[in-house]
Amino acid sequence: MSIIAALVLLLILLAIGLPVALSLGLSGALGLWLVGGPQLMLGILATAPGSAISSYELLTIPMFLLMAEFMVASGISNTLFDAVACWTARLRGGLGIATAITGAAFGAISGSSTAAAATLSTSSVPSMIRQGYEARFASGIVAVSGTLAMLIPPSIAIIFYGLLSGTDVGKLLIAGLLPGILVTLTVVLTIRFMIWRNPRLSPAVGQTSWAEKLGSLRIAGPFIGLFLLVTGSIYLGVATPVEASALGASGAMILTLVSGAMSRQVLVTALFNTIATSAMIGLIIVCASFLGYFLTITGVTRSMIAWITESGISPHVVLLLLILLYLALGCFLDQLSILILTVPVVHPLIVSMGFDPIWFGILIILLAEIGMVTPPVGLNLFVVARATGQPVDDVVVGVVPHVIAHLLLIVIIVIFPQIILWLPNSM
Amino acid sequence: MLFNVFLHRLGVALRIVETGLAIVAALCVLAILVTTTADVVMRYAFNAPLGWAFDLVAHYLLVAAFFLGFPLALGRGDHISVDFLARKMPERLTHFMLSPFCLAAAGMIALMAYYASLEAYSAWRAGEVIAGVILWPVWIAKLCVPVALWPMVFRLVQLGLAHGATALDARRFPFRAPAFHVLAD
Repeated sequence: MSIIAALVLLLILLAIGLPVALSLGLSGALGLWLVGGPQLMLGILATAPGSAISSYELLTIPMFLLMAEFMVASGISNTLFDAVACWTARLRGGLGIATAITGAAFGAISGSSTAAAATLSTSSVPSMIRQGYEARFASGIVAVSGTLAMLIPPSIAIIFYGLLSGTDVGKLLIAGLLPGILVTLTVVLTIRFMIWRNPRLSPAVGQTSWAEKLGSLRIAGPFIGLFLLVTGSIYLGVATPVEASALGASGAMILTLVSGAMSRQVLVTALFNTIATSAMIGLIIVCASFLGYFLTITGVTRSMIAWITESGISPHVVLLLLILLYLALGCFLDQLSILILTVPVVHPLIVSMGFDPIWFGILIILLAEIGMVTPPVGLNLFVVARATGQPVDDVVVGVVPHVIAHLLLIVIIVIFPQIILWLPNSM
Repeated sequence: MLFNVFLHRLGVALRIVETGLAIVAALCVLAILVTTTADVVMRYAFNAPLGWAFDLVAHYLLVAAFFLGFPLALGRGDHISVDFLARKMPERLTHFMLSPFCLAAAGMIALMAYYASLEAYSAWRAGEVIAGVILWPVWIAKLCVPVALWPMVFRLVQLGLAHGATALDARRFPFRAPAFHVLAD
């Protein structure tokens, strides 16, 4: 009864648009009151805030956010597309391929897919349309390429999963690397396949000189350097994820200083944006802990696992149902909300069925990537539509082939979990 | 009219407090950046890690950087919300429903702030310290929690009142408080 009451209140609060953090807090507090009276609720309200924000690894969030803020402020990320396009312009669909690679490169310095989509929209879509790309095709590429930031380290969503599930954040970040490259390749292959089926989608092929190509390395250098500094130091065990994130933020700050883009305004904006986003995530973690305590006390997760085990349902059927659930949730919720609402219940279930929590975490992020480009709430669809001035429906049409390709990749990753686990297991 | 002036002035006062706390949080983020980087560099380049760095960052700067940003995030309307259904609801109904729940959330945060204040006070009275090479006082970190939560209580009260007034008469009380982004859109 208390579970139903808390869940109904949560759904009502989410539906009316109350912030997710406050919705989780109020429904969790109600649940605690119903299950243990005011004493229990007050006890947890008193102790939860301090204990929820005590994990040292939480620091990766502001540090990686600050790194991305500095890289955007430095202006290097705006020119990255042109730098990559120098090398792919001679290929058919070269600008589309450059967009996908730029999305991956942007992911290497930022964990925000909407920021990646917004930056790519302003830099790559006009270039593609100038070269004769069909607008829907071009915007579809941008919307899906933006999602790569969620997977390629550093990824805020992956860190968030790690903190919620207690899974090793360092291993999770490294685990996202190979699937991130595979998703990039999938986007590239989808572009080539689409153009092969319909050459009118991308009629022209550009030309670039070797001078331009060599000049582009000056832009790519800082990205590669920062990526190696962060991901390399975590993989080699030279630095913890927190230390690597601080090194990355320091490196990005130095690059901004060297590029001459640093000013008092840039520094203040970067810091304020960083603390506001960190605080948004922090309050969700605090308030979600109320719901977490409530679920633990009611034993609902334990009962669900016991019921599934006794019922004899195959773990793969459960996994399939979970994948469908995540795809459905992705249509209506953003990735952080999905993680916060599902991981406390689903993670123990997955572990009890013998699946690897690192593999499952990356799988969820892959599914969340699809959620970013599926209507009605696919955030990247709206970001690209707004930035390019195209109807959202057109962006949706452009993204459909990529969603199908993405789903095929997910099937492969489910069949071959080693793809995800190889790198973290070799640490 | 008087009610509008009250809400506006409360909003201005809260914005000053939110910005002040955010400046402290921003300085803490910068301090985390410098301290952690210096610790790594000193460890690998000079084999002389900063022994105090972890305690300073984990016990003080982490708490301050996160908590002291809470009021700014709420005041700026940076919190994520699910706006799919709310967008389709009549605006007046949205205001009507958000009002009591903002006030309920204010009550919940007030309870958290009250208990956090008591904890900080008792840690100060008892002279609690974290054992180590340096004896770090506990109350400073504990104080960050109520200092961050009390302004949120007032901001949520302001939001609740503003939503309620707008639901009753949108022409006399146009919504001026920082909206959750569902309304800002």
